[in-house]
Amino acid sequence: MTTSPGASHPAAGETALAGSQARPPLLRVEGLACHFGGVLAVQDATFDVRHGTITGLIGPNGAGKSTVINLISGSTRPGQGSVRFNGDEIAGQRPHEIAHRGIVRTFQQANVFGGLTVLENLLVGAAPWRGERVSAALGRKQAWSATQSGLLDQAWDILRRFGLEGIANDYARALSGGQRRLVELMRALMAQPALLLLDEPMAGVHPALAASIADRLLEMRDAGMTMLMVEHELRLVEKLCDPVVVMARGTVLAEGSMAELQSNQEVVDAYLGGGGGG
Amino acid sequence: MTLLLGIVIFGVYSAALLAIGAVGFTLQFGVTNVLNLAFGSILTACIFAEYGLTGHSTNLWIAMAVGAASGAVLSLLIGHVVVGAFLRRGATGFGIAMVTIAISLMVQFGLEAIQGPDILSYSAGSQATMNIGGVVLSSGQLTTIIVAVLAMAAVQVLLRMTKFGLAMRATAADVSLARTCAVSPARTRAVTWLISGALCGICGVLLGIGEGSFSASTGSDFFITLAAAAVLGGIGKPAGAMIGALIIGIVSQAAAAVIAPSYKTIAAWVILIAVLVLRPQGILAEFAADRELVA
Amino acid sequence: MTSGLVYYLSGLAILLGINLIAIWGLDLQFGLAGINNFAYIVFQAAGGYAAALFALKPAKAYGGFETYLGGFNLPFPLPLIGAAAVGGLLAVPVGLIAIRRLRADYQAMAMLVLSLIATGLAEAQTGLVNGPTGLALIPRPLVGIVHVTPLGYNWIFLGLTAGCCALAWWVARGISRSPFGRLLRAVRDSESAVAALGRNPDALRMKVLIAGGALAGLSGGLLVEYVTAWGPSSWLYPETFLFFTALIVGGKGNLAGGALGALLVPIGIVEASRHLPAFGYPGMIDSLDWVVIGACLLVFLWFRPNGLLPERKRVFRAGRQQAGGTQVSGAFAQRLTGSR
Ligand SMILES: Nc1ncnc2c1ncn2[C@@H]1O[C@H](COP(=O)(O)OP(=O)(O)OP(=O)(O)O)[C@@H](O)[C@H]1O
Ligand SMILES: [Mg+2]
Repeated sequence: MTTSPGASHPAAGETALAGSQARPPLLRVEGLACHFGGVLAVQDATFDVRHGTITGLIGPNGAGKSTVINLISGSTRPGQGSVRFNGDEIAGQRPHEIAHRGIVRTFQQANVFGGLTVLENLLVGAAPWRGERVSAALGRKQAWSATQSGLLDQAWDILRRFGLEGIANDYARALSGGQRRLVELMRALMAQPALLLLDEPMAGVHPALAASIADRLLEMRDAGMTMLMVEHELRLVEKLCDPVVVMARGTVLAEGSMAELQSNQEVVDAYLGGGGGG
Repeated sequence: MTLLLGIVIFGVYSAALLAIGAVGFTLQFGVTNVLNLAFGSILTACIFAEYGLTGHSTNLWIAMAVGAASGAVLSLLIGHVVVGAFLRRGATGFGIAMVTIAISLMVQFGLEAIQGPDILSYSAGSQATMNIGGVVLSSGQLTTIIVAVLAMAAVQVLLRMTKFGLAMRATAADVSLARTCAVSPARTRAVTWLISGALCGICGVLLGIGEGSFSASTGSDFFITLAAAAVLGGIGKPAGAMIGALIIGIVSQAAAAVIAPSYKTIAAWVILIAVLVLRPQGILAEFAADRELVA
Repeated sequence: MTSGLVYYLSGLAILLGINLIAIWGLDLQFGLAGINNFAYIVFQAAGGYAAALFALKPAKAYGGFETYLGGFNLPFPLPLIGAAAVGGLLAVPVGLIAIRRLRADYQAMAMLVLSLIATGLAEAQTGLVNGPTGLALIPRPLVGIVHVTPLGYNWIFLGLTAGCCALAWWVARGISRSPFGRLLRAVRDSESAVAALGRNPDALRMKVLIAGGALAGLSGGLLVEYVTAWGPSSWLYPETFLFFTALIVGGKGNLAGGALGALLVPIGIVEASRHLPAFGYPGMIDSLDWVVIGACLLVFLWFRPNGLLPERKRVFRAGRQQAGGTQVSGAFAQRLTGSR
């Protein structure tokens, strides 16, 4: 419904606020700040995520990337600043309200439902539907089973695309760390999010599989899904993300395509060249 | 005037009694991070043990020593051995709550089976009384206040001035770090369970004397009030427990005097829930929610 | 069989049914949704008092030998419906504690203390439900309308209990197999992930707290109408652990497990021990029951924490086969990103 043509992801550069025909960004983060006790985890973070892009979010450990994801998704309440999604202010809303608008996230520490099977995990991922109400639980099974079959088909599709149909009926608590990460990604996809926030989705995943996940993500971007992705593996960032936002010590250092960033001395000093923050 | 003096004096006595137990409870919680719901049953068991071993002892200090010894042994057995075994199996907070409750039921009702339907009357030491401005205090109650002061001082000296106290504080702060500092966390925790049990036993004996009688459920009700003091002071903080005990002691005496005697404990328990739910870090200390459980 | 034995067995069946309803209610809260409700017995107590006060005539009618609020003299089945409603409503204030994100052990303790406070208040406020003595002379349903022998009445009451069990089963099974139940199991594992997927974990828990509370209230109502008396000593905090033990022995998250637990713990241990040759003083066996229950709890937590009949895995077979290959990838992505 809201898919934008694949070609619309912009060549990066300065955020063209003045650009007359430019559509407003899907997500606009402005002056976001948050502190834990005395630690300023994020201060004055400002960036946009445009429709149909995979926007990268990189930076050394402790730069505040996960905190930004938490702030956008509502897991952490921002101290100040604004987060606008489709023009609506969402900062300070509760996580489920934000998710309800179509912003779905994954966690840096894989966060699966251990007592549910992989397939059930995916079913819970589906966007909220009528069959989940108490009234449906106390009514006839037929009232919700047809919709559920549809969701199951969708879940099986996703599992096949990731080559994981073999573990469909395994308990998630019995999976390896990398598999859990994949389950979390597939579960988020079930929700058909308008904006997908990924916190290091490939960490701990075998390189060959990571490459194939990257292809999946590109397919989905081309079909119009927007993503904000935290990633440390720069080759993957280069392949997937445009533009890329660089954070260091809680602030946004720079924003642009990978090529531009590599020629930005400040960024190279802070992150790219230094081999991770040194 | 006498009412007010009574509230203050009996408040101080209640606080002293609570503080002895609360410091033991909170010390053990601070070092091991295990919320021991069987503490009240151990307390009752100590009164039973003391009663069974020496009967109506004429010497209060012997009675307290016997109570302390039985508390130390029981606490080590229940806390370090049984709870420790469950922890090594990976039991989490809720599992441990369940385990300590199960032990608590077994001890409490086991004692009830031994005791029979009667309430046992109990006394130890001299029966002299003292009159302070119209408020009559028994020698047992006076001793309680003295013992509480001594125990609090001893705990502070232990924690602040001895090598073992340093080990306890290190284990409480960070188990893996303590290990790298050549502290043996397992031994530290075992000794902590012993100390906590000993304080529990002393508290039990003094409680039995103060009440003049006891039954199998004496400890479980008292424990909740004691826990209120510990939680109010910031669970895991001995100094906080003393302040918590003072507040709880005076509040419950006031509730008993002003509302009705049956509200003595209810007032303390409402405070306990409120603090647990609204400010689990207590009024003084920082919060230890993410720490691993160890025994 | 002698009619005495039949009478006894029918009474036992009624108690089994009443316990079953309570255990299924706890299974919804604890087994399915992972709520550490250590104050569960308060829900049963509230249901019991509600049924009693709805069924009793005003206190004056009995010469004022007991004091209580109300006394509405409502006909069957209104007291039972009221019991379930009060049990469900109680979930709202209790939920303030039970639903909060707290360390599990702190929460367990807070709930335990809540149970103690409830007992304390019921005893202290003598005008509310007759204080420590409790309520007596609670009218049984249909008495005065049907005229039968005591055994005949037991059969009627057993039928009523069976009907309530069927209702409880229908609620518990409906929830546990439904998408709603799946969300509850998800909340049990990770509240943050449930919220990140657009559901309000607090609302989910509150709903199941109400459903479980209503079942507990119903079981309390039935119990009170059967035994015709109800006081603070009938619902002391250890009773909660009777139900927890039954669930952990039988198997939580499994209706058959709950039923097995009901048979083994409240009936098996508590009832069977009454038939031991008498020893000790009167009441000693009751105390020893609790020692056995505590021991059972420990033994099962150690050896078989998932119970005799563990929660069953929900397996789904592969549905409509989707051809693999690259051509479908566009369609796949389209479907994923399609209309919300
Ligand atoms: N819950 C918290 N309590 C206290 N401090 C926190 C908390 N979460 C994050 N911080 C602090 O905030 C800062 C930013 O953390 P954040 O997790 O956002 O970093 P990150 O960029 O995601 O790092 P990494 O690449 O290692 O995941 C760090 O200094 C961290 O110590
Ligand atoms: Mg991070």
